[in-house]
Amino acid sequence: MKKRIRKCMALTIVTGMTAGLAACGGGGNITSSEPQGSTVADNKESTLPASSEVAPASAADASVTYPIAGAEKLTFGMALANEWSDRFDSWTDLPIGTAVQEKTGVELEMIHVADNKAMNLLLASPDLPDIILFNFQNNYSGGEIKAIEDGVIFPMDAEFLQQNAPDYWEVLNSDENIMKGSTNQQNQVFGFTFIMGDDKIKTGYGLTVRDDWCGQLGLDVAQIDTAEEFHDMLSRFKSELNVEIPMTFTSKNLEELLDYGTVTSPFGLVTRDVYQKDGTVHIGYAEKEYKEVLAYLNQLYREGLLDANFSTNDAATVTANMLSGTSGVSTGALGGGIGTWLQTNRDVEGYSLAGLHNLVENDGDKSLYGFYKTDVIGKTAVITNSCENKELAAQFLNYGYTDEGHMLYVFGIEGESYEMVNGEPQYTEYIMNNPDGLTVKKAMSEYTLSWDNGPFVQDLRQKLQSASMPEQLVAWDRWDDTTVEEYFLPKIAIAQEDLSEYSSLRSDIKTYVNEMTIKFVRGTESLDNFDEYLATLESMGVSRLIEIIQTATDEYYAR
Amino acid sequence: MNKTEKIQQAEKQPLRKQSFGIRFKKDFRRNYGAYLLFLPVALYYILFAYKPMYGILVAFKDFTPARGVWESPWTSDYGFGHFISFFESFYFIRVLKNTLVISFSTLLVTFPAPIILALLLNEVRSTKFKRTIQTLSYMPHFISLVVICSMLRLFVADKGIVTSFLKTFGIVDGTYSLLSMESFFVPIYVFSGLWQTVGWNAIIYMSALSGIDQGLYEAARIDGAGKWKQMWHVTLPGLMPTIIMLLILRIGQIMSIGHEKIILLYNEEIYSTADVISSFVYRKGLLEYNWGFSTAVGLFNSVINFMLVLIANKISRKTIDMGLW
Repeated sequence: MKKRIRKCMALTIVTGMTAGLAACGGGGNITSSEPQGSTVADNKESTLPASSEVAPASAADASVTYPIAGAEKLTFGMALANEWSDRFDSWTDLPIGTAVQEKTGVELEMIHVADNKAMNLLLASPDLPDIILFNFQNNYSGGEIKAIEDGVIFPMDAEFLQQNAPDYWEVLNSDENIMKGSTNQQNQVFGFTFIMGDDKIKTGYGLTVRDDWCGQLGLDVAQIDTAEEFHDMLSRFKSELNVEIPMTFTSKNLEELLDYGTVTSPFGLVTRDVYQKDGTVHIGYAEKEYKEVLAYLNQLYREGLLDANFSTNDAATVTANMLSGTSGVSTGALGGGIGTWLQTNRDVEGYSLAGLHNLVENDGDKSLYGFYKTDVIGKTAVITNSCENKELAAQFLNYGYTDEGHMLYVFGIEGESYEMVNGEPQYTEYIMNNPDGLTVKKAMSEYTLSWDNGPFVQDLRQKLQSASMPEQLVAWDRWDDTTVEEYFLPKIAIAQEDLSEYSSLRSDIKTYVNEMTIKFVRGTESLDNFDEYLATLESMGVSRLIEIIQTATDEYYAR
Repeated sequence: MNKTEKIQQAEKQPLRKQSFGIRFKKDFRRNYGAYLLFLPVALYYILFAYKPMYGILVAFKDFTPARGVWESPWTSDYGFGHFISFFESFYFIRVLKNTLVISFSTLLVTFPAPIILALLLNEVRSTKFKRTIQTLSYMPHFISLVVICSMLRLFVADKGIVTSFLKTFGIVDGTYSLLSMESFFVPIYVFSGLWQTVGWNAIIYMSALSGIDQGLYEAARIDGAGKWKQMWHVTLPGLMPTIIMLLILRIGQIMSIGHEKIILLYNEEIYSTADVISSFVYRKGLLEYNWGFSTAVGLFNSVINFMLVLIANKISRKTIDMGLW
């Protein structure tokens, strides 16, 4: 059965590849949704673009000058994104794809695959594209580092980068965490990584509450931050406003609330997930304090304040509950949660949402932990070992880290996707309020890569503008009021010899913890059995898991 | 027709004595049309059932797609590392138990049901009524599994039709979905399976029933057999070969419960009754990219299934002298 499935996927790849090739050959046959006739009709390197008077910003200190003269063609492997694949066949048909080719002088031949699974199969073929943009961290067992060992990724050393990607090299050297997050234990750089750039970008997740209801009850959302206040708010929603399900969420949301430490601080637990305290690794779900968190949630559940169906809910139900007034509190990210709900219900009289501070022990405290990302995250553009002109590939990928390349990847094309207003880039109406009714994300996907990940440094201004509703900005500030930096585990690399043990321990234990967490919260498992739960974790090897992570953490700080 | 038969009869004797190659050549020349028709089938099996078999090697390797099947290193314990880690896994007993429980309850409920339905329909006199019932009963077979499962989720949701029904009897309190209760998963799975398959599976029995010689019924009636006796002594023995064949085939699938319906219905809270081998393999192999491990578990499954078919066939040969081969 499995074999047949794999067969099918292989077929998908082949069709995907041929589709990609055909699209490259055809050249922009579906560009009807492009605004005012795309300015870049021809992208062959022979016709030098008119915009060459904009001198490359990095020309002074670097050996790479754009457009690269006489560059060959490169193949580029990328998964299709739903954001644009309904309107375009190939990334090079998009304004961003055309512009990147024009500016760098490198002609790209896209090899598109349907999704991450298909990318894994593409990686099994002997003839890889020259460049691959892929989230190895999440979708390739062992991540980029294993991919180097497997002979997929061409590892880059300092000399190679200094010569061919000086701007990227400069970015890597600007911060220790960026450098370590982009290298393996042997200090080889595995690819052109997506870099956060600003600490604020790393945050943006938390509780969301009906502000108007709080107003009716005379509550000030800004003042609600302790576990008791949160409990009182929920029970007043229920008793005074007759709210059916005061707080709605999915089991995935519950994991987030616990793993991002949104509700754990009042009980002295940093997070349910892995964290470090002065270099010592801890795992929250194996700590005694976790019991108090569960007891609190169980109390809320028993009082009917939490969604009784959270274990079977899906995200659509939660959204429906929040939009219809069935529920008053939920949780989510800046864009997906509060942003989407406000946008959808903007015409509803009196409907307003606000972000709620992470729960804390005493009024006005910072929460111990919060949602946070590593400096280097998500998709990485790597040069494969099949690439024949690795220098050119590096020069091409270096473009995203130049000032000009940064603007292109983050904001797109001036005059089309952004305008300079008082010296600051500002997305145009086409992006923010699309005439064809495209969402911001979809419109952005045509002109930028900053809606997703890519080989460049992310820009805070991108996030500030895409999350531009005042409620979002206030919520963002509230959610950001944490001491997460103290506890956050950097992007460690698990040693190769521990890798398979680590991944099987982690997945088995995680499955057990999630299962038991739901049972404890719903009360189907009594909290009296918490000690047995801890004992089971121990027998499953949680100490060994901590040990492996500790080793990797020590190695990270020693590197 | 008689002529060709004669020719065949005449040629049969010398054919046996010739070598396979010559016999095949002769036969091919005569029946090339039939061979041509068979070609796509043969190709299908070679390409999709036999050629991928070398992939079983993955079960003994630390497979990474980038290195390919041959280049990936063998696992520890002489290549049996994945098997050992599965048997020693925290979840081994649980998924094995759940697989067997779900499988046997499904067999117990959904195997006899279509036979009974076919027998009942066989006694119905009004063709209109019979047709209607048949159409209605096999309708669910044509609905996509994803749709079936979404419907099921609604039926057993906190305000769903099934939940409300059970609530009137005081069995559940109706504040949450039945799918968040461990004890309800197996019944939901089994009875929805019944609903999905009963009509469709009855078709094969219906056709077997129509093949029973009407003369036998007549003779039984003359001997004074009532409806019940007729069913017991004529209909059931007539159906027996079909029943046995299908039963042996079904036993060969005991270990393999499709993961699709399971993963569409279960959630983390009820893993303890709902997680089966195939869903476990799905999570390990496709979600965690542990290809080698999931292939090993899949292979383990297939071997057990194969052995079960052999045993079932043997038993049925010994006891009632019927079998697949």
